[in-house]
Amino acid sequence: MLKIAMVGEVDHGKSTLIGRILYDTKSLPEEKLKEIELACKELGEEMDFAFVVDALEEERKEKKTIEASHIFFSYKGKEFAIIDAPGHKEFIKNMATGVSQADVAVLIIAADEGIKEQTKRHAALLKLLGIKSVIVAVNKMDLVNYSQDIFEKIKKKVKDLLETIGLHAIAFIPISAYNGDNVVVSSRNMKWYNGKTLIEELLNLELEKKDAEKTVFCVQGIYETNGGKKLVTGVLLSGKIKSGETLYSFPSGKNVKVNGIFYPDEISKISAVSSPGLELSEDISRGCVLSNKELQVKKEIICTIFALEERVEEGCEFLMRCFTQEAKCRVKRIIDALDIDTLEEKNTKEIKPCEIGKCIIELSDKMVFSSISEIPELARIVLVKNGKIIAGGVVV
Amino acid sequence: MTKSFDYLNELEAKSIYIIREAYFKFRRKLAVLVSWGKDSTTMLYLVRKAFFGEVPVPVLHIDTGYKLKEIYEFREKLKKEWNLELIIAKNEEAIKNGMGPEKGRLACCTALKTEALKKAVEEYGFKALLVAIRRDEHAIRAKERYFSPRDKNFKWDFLKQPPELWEQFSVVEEEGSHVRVHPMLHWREIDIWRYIKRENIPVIDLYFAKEYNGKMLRYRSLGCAPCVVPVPSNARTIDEIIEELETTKIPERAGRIQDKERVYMMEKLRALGYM
Repeated sequence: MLKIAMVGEVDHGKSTLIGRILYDTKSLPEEKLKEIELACKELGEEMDFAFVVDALEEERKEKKTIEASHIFFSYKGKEFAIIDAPGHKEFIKNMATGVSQADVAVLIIAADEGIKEQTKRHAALLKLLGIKSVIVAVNKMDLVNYSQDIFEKIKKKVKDLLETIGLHAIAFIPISAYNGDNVVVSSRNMKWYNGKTLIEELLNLELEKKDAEKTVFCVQGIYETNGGKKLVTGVLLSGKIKSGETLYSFPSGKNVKVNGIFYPDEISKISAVSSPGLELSEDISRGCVLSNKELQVKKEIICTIFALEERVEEGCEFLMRCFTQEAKCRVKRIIDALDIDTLEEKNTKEIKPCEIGKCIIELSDKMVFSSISEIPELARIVLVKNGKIIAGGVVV
Repeated sequence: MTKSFDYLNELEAKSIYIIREAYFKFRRKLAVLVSWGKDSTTMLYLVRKAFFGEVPVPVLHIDTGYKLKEIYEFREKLKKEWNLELIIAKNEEAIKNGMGPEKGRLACCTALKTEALKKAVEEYGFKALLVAIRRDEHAIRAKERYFSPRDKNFKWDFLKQPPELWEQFSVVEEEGSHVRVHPMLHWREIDIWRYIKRENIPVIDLYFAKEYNGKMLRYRSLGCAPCVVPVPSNARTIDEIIEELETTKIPERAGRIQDKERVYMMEKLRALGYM
């Protein structure tokens, strides 16, 4: 299943586009349409496609998406999940929550307004959250008389913006979500556009397959069965494990032998992705990472982080989590923060909420890290305070 | 023809990861909330898979007294076969005072489900519940988190949901609060049935089409006898259900009277602590 995040500035038409996709792919049940009609009538308004995703009463009254939503549909035999991300800066934590689950993003820009603050912030976040495939949809083309000239100008600017951030767009598509141009059906109003419709781009998209050479098993905890067996539970993120083989246990690097594999009954081998239990020759604990290859172990890291609701300052102490690993940490130095206006790095001692910045973090104990392209789960970190995630980031 | 549906492995691994995260965090302060429908039975099956055939925490059933009789039979069967530590929670007082759907569905669901759940959570001191809601069931549930906090009044504050990034969840503990953990959130109705088929998970017979007064009908969603009705269907086997779901445009909860009654019914129920 392809998970698509819809991102972009407030009122550039994310929710309307989702409604349009669902309507034109005939994915909306009759009943749902009736429910929306009724809700619109109660508010004294015309049929609004955005109500498909904006289901909270507050969202519909205020006409804004507050919370990210996941909507499923299938088209021509392919299955999709759309994640609708809120555009308001104040709901950026919900946007990040939604987008962190996505494979691909559609960056929506209204033709009558062009690039705005959240367009830039969302684009920068896509890069940070590791979204590699981005499709740019220039929406509301009906409001600019379907002008090719305006489309080309916006395309050029967005291309530059994405390049600065380090992203590459697969396609630029002029659309009107409101009227349905180039969403599922080719536009009759924009004969000058020869490219694919949005849905065709999504149908064509193939995700890269992970390399399964390296075995990576992250330990969640030890479970003792009623029969007195001590099983090491965890997630096999990549590769495979065979009963009888010897693996390294990081961060220590010590050898451990796999005496048995259980899922739920005893089996002789297992491949990723799975969540088995292992019987091991040594006692190990939550946070250990088992592998057949050498893994990087560090006590100090450089990472790009995104502050959600609290500022991150030099000297701040948090709990850092990286998949099932956890350690106390201290922000040693803030290297820089991204100025969303100019997209230039600025010198600073703090990363404010909704800002992205680079910093050096010291850990109380060694942890295992990987590059984002190899084992993404071991490159992504969160900073936690009193149980709450206050920032997310990626190890550079 | 059986397809392999490899993607189910990913759904399964993710659910088991979430179930274990909840268990290692809360241990015996965690309970599995079940209704004995296909989703909570699949969740219970995944708990058993996560812990090698064992269910190491109590299983909580909120009994309104109005459940379909087949549900009670199924409960007793699984309790025995899966060796479950079953807690049955009932709002006896409200039942004694004549609470029922005729008093209004919002009032009835709140008294017999939400209030009964509140009492059980207080009595046993649960800090977390595994709940089998899915995003594709309802537009409001599509906005849920995997680890979703409830305050001491059971209120779901959807405007202040804590962030969840990648595989990381926020768990803020406050006096009297508890966490709803949703390990099935990313499953769709069709995934559940494909998985039930693949893993041979037991389900209640009510899901399969039978003749009722000359019409072929089946329950797509289970609940209290007065508030769910079977919907037209010819699907008599799991394969036929899967086939039906691949083409149907009738929503899953169409047979539920509660959802349809008012536009924001679900939001109101959930704000009060409903699942």
